[in-house]
Amino acid sequence: MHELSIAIKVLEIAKRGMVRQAGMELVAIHLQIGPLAGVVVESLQSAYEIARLQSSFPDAELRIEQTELTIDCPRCRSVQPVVAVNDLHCRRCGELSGKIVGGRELDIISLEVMPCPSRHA
Amino acid sequence: MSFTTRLVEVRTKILKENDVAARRLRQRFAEQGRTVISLVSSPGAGKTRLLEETVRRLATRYRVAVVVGDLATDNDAERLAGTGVLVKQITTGTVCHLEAEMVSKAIDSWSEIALDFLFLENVGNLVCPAGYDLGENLRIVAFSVTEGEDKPLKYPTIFNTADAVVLTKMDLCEATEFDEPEARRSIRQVRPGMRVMKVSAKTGEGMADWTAWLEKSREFDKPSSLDVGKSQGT
Repeated sequence: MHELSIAIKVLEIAKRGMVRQAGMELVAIHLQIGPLAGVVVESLQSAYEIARLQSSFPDAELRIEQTELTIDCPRCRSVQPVVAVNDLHCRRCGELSGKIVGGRELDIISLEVMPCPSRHA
Repeated sequence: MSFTTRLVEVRTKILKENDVAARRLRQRFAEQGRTVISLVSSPGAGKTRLLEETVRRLATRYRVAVVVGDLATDNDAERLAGTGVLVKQITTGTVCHLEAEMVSKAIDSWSEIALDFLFLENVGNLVCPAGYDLGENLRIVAFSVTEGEDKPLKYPTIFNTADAVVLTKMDLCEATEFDEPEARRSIRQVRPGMRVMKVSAKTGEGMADWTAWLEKSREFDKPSSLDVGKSQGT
């Protein structure tokens, strides 16, 4: 339900980041989102499609990488993926663990830029 | 045109502003000696009723206040004001959850008031509040026996960011044929080791244990269960 506000926030952060990219055009914004971020990726994607039209970057794409939910498995003694978001048993050995390592990500990783065509054409 | 693109690394949490505001709140709460408990649940799980009974019991020995978040109306705040404790309503409008900055603004006028317990009743919603740290010491999910035993499996994220579950409306257990072992299995599967308490605000069942646990939480800076809880990173 709050995906639109997240989409707007993404565009704000991108705008701040682009200040240092004089002469560059924003092509895409790369995000990483974990299954425990509380965000529905499809909703965010469609909210972004609306938000970007009102922003400084109507042509910038949103590229979302969905990360895996991983635990520190006490039996495997290593970081392992779990069976499912609602089943924190280790996918490898079946042990249950509450030590979550990855899966809460809701991050902007990078801005994909290229030289402004208008300036270099 | 054959311009190649390049990647400019940003690596920023999208909700960083909220995280920063929450961290500030948490620090202030610690300095003020306030134990801050937030309550989340689906609409109608009995948060307000549970809080009414909880603050009534705690207010005999502690200085207690409540902040209530709702999309609209101040009905819950009015009910809670009936208990005699300080109450503030946050009407979020179209926003489906409380954010740290809203809490900060709401309690601004209480900065000089000594408080032992501050309760934050979030908007009834099991999805959106999950990602927003409010600077609370403990986040509690109220899970009523009138809901399905598999609620935790359907909303793993909110259970995963919480520190304890309170099973509410236990007086209706029989009528709803609530399968408690099944519910506990669901909780364990999404959040192993999470504490589960059972209450009926109506009959008073379990209320003494619940409030005793809250009192005990004041003795610790950070309950051990928090280390697998919500992200408090940068």
